[in-house]
Amino acid sequence: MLTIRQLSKTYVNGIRALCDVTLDIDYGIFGLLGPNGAGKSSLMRTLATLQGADSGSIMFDDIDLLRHPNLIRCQLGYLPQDFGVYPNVSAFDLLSQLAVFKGIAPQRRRLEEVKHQLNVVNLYSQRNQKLGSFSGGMLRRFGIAQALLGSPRLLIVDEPTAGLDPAERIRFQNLLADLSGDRIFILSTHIVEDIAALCPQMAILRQGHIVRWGSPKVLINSLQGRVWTRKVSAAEPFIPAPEWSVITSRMVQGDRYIRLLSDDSPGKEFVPVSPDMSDVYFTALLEKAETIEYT
Amino acid sequence: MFLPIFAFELRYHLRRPTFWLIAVVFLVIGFTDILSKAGAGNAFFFVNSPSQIFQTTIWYTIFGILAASAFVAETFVRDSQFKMESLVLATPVKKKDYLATRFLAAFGIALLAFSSYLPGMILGTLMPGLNLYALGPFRADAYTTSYFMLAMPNLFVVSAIAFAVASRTRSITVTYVGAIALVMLYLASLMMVGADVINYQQYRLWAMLDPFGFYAFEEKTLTWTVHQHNTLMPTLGGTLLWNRLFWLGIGAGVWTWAYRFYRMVLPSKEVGERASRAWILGSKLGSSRSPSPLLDRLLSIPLPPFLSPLLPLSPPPLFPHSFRLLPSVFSHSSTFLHRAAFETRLIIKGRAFQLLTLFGLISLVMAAIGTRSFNYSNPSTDILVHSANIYLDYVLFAIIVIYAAEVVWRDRILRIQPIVDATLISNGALLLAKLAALFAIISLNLLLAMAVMLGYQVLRGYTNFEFPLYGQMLFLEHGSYFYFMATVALFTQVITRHKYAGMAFIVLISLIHIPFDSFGWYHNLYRVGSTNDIEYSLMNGYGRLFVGHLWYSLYWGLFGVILMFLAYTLWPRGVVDGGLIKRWQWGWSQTKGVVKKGLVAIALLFTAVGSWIAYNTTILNTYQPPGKEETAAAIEKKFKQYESLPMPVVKETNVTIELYPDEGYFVADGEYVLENQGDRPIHELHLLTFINLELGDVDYPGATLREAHPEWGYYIYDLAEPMEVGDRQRLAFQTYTPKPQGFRNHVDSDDVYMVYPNDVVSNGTNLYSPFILPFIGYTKMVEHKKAWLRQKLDLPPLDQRMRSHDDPLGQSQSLMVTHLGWSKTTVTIGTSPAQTAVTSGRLMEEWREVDGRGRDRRYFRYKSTTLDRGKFTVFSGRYNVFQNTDYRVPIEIYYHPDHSDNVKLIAEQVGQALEFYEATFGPYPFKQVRVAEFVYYDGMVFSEGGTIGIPEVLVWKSEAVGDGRDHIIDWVTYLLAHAWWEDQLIAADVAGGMTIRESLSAYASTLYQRSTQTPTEIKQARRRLMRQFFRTLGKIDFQEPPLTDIYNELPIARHKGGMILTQIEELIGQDNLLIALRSFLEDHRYQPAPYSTVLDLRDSILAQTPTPKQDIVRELFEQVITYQVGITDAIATPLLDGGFEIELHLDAQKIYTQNLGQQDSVPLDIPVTITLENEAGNIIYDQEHQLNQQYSVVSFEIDQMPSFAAIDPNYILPSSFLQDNRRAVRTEEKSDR
Repeated sequence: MLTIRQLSKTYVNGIRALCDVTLDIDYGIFGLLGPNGAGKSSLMRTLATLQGADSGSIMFDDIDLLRHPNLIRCQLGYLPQDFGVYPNVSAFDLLSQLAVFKGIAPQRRRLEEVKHQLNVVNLYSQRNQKLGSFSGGMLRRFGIAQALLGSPRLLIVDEPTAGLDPAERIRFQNLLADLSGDRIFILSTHIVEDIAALCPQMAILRQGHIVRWGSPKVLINSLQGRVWTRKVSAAEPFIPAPEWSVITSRMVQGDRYIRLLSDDSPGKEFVPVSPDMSDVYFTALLEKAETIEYT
Repeated sequence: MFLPIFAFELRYHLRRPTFWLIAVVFLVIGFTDILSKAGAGNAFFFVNSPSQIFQTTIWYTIFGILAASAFVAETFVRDSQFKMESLVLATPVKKKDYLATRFLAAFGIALLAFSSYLPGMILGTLMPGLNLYALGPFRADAYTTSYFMLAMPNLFVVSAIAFAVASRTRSITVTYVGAIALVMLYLASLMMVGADVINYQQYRLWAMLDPFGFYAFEEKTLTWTVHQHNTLMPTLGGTLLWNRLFWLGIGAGVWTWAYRFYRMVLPSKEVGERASRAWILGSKLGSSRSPSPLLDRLLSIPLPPFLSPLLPLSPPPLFPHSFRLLPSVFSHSSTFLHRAAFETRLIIKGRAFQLLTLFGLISLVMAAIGTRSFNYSNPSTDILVHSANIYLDYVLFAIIVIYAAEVVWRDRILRIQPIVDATLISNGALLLAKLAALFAIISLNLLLAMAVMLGYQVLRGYTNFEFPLYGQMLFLEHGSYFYFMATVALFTQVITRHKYAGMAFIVLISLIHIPFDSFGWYHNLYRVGSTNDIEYSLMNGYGRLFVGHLWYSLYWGLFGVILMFLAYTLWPRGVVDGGLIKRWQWGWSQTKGVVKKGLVAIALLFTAVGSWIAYNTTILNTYQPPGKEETAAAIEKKFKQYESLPMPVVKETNVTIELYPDEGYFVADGEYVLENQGDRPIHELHLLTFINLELGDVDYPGATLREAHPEWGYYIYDLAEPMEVGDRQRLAFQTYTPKPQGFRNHVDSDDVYMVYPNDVVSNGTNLYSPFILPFIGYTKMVEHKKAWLRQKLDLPPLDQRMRSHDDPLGQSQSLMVTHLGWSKTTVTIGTSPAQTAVTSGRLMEEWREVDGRGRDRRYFRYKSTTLDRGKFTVFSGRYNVFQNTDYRVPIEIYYHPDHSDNVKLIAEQVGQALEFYEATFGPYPFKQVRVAEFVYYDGMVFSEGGTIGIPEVLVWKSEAVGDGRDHIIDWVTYLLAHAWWEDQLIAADVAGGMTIRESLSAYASTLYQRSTQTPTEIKQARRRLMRQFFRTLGKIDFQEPPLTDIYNELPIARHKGGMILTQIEELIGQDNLLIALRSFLEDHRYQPAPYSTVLDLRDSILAQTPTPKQDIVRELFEQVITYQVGITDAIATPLLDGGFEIELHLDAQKIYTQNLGQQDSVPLDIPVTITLENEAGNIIYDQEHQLNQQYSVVSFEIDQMPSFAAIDPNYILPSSFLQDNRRAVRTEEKSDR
């Protein structure tokens, strides 16, 4: 169990990245959702022991993560959002070196582990290729392989699917789904579908605050009967009424589809729809910081 | 953990081309350095002697720092640069493994790559065809000791600092700044230690400052003889030990500090490669906001506002259509200007540049302060620029190399390249903007240098601000090279498309002269960036040398343009797959026709300028004219057979010398009255002319030319009627130097420097008569005395260095100028109307006339008033004249108008010395004393017939305070003394002849100086003289001869001779010595042959020497003797009666030096003075002691407590090590009390 209590972090330039973040994360996949700049990466970096906090605590089982980063690092796998590799070194060599860094000292065990992970991410046949020649998807898989070295109990993966093509993204989602196993696996993303597909538990982060936390199903259910939609043709002028909470307004094939959050029917043109993950996400972003709901 | 990480790092580096590149560079440097030094022959110095190995090792480590920082910095920048940091830091890797192990690996790799100089050097010594005299035995101990003592510590210090900087800033470029700072420290200590004049007071302080230990090492070898240089192993001790410990301490301290404060977390946003870009490229880059949010998101770094006009997203408000549809010239030039300003601003705002500028400022100030070590010079512009150039040569070059890589690769590292590439901006604008930025940096550095120098001049109260000269020296003479190198640096970056390959390439290009020298390839047409030799003279400016420099600069400038055209076509825009060649082909195929045409046009222009240079340097002038050494060797080979033929002697010279300063030549029409002073009739007459001198019409009754060898200047005439013994006959002749045409590539390959000694220059000409008038007969003077030089020039070994003391032919001829005896001289000199011509003799007439070609001319006729030596020096320049008539004869100073500072002092000192010499040695024979200034090109001084010539750099601009004043007085009075010891007697052409004039002039000068000095000043002067003299001994390229065997070893004859006479004075008393010298002069004054020899001088002294000391005096003439006296411990023990028992542990040796400085020591055979001083500095004990052991203990009792003990306190005994002559006395209670 990973227990985060009142974690806050303000950068030197005044930006408040994390604000009183409190979360309990259990074994299994946990999704962290939020727009750009919400503080996802800050939280992930902090969980990955790469950055300190101003206040608050993080306990991994009974280890204080902020105080004893090296104890955590022994059980940690981390794939940052933006990472690089030595371009002129082969995948095998670099992975093997990182295995050394992870403390897998005996050579035979290390080589086996490296081979195994390369197989897991399906890069074994390209193991002697220089990393400089890897495509974006291959690099991402290499990233996963290095994160998995030493079978970490805490796996932190920051925006793993960003920038991947749709087919590669599905393959990657499948790969991630296989990794949940016996570990805490925190996955951050700003892509709603990733969460829906992968995570039994999730939280939404906005401007450093946790604004939703729970299982996707429960969160979606909480909107049941409150989401309304209507089609507005392109010719028609559309002026939203001031009291409406517009969740989304999307152009689809020349028509505008409006989704509203409302406890009652906002008008006769509107029909109720069943809520989805996007509604959860966008309504969470609509709210003022004070109205944090825990479910 | 250690091994796998270490092994990975080693593999990583070994696979990178950088490692191999650097290893090859050091291999080549070591190899070619040995080849060029040993191939050309560097006298008797072994190029692989221990001290040479040590010295070059230190030199290489200075270059090695760039390599070391490349490996170490790369290791600690790599993870950040490749964005792997968060991957690595999230692992439980220990700090020890991540930092220490990887540092060890990087350091090991740096050491390994650097160490290739060792096989390079050793391989070099094994090459065939090297000068045998320059090669010593293989000394494995020297290679290993220097490696452990110097190479490893130096690389460690540099690596530690690189580690500290790189691990903190995550930036390679900032690390290079740190490395440059170390080089600057080295340069600073170079400046402060002093070049010509060593700053002994602060030597150790500045030697400690030098991170490479060069000066700490040199302190050990400062007084070594050639033999010691060749054989001795420098030991680790004294300043060198402290320097090593100090810098190892600094290295370890810095390393530990960086290690301790390194945190195994991601750096805050201020650090990291991007932020360090900001560090390098403008501190505001990270914080200024861009008006273009879209770009922001694209680039994820904010851009300064002035970038936006470059991008199509926001076209400039003016002419939007023309910009979009057809990029006009206006928009090209405006984008270029914007871009150039942008690039420059980025660099200038970078803290790296600001730091470099600060370091540069400090170094330049030190360079300026160091100028005093050049003959105590005042801070004149030329000398300031000269010393700043030492700084510029290293540092500005490094800045160019680093920033060229930086401007080319920055966009890629920032990942902004694709965006810039996709804009309308042309490759030309991109490239030229980068070039303009480099040019701006160079100009800023040069301006900074200028500002520092001007500031220094103001501080020193020197107000002769020569702005045009600053411009000319900094920007035209030196700057043109740097501007050119900037184009080469950009070009190498573009064509190699590899940052380090590009950097290595330009460094190799800049070192290309090393292999070229070893092959003897000197033509500047292919020595990239080099021009003909030029040197600024205070009187003559750059003279005609500047023309060639400008042509070469134009040539290389055009070459730079071609490189830029090529770089333009090959500019790495966008992404092109495939190898280097394929990418070049692609670039070429993309190039527009008009550009290609432009390239062809420039190439044609380049070829035309190159052809013009080739025409001037190979057709109009000989590419490699035979030098003085070669010419002399040829004369010896061909004409030595005539050595014993009888030749007449010049009894009278009448000559008219027409000087044409503006055109650079002269014509001399003259006649000799010759006399057969021998005992045989003379049947043939041989004339010999100096190098570069042409012989015109010769008229001698009944003479017919039998052989002419104009290339060697040797002519043989048969006489129709023999010249009988005692006959006199007139010989009319014309000599001239050819009028210079065009310019030369270099003057030649040996010791004729810049201009020939008989070249006429625009201002400050000096012509020594033996170099401009014919010599009669063969002279032994042409024979090279140095065995290594003889071998190099393919001459047989010399059976006799000089004629022996009793050789009758030698005794009948005067030293060096064998054809001259006592004679009378009339010299008429014509020169340009603005100049004054000066020579020896009374000025009889002065007039002006217009010559046949309508040129206004000014004439001077000088005539000797007493017998003279038949030789004279002609000076001509735009002089001011200062007269002093307070003394028995008028004193006239002819000086360059800018150099009036010391004129009064010079005249006064000449006058006072004249009175002193007349009172001590007898009357001065001439009607006046003249002192004339002239250009320094050939580095000579003159004193003939009461006319003294001193070059512009020597005395005229020295600061007349402290040692500087002594320096002026020493030179002037030494040259004046020649009027007694050169002009009143003739030294025979036998061994030791030069000792007479030199030792006696030096002794006379010190005798005069002592008459005006306090005892402390006398001591200081002796100390200074000994230190300077013994320092030069290690640099001489001949065996040190004893006084009786000197040929032309002038420093020995002058300084050692003077010291020995001072020692003899101490031994036999001043009165006795002066009686001896006066009687020697009396015996030989104006005497005909046989002329005087050094043995006559010795015998005159022996006649005044008490018998027991005669052997000592004789030995001082006949052996090379120095001393080592010192106090190793001084103990005072208080006695019950209030007195003290003194115990002195003494070192007292007489040292015989043989061959190239092999030394054997024996106990001292003369008494030596020991003194004690009390706290107030008063002498409380002063006794002579006879010490019979090399190491002995002397005890005695005195009644006062002494503070200092001294042995040989007045520095009478010539000794190379003076530090231990004086020692503080320590007190010790008696143990049995």
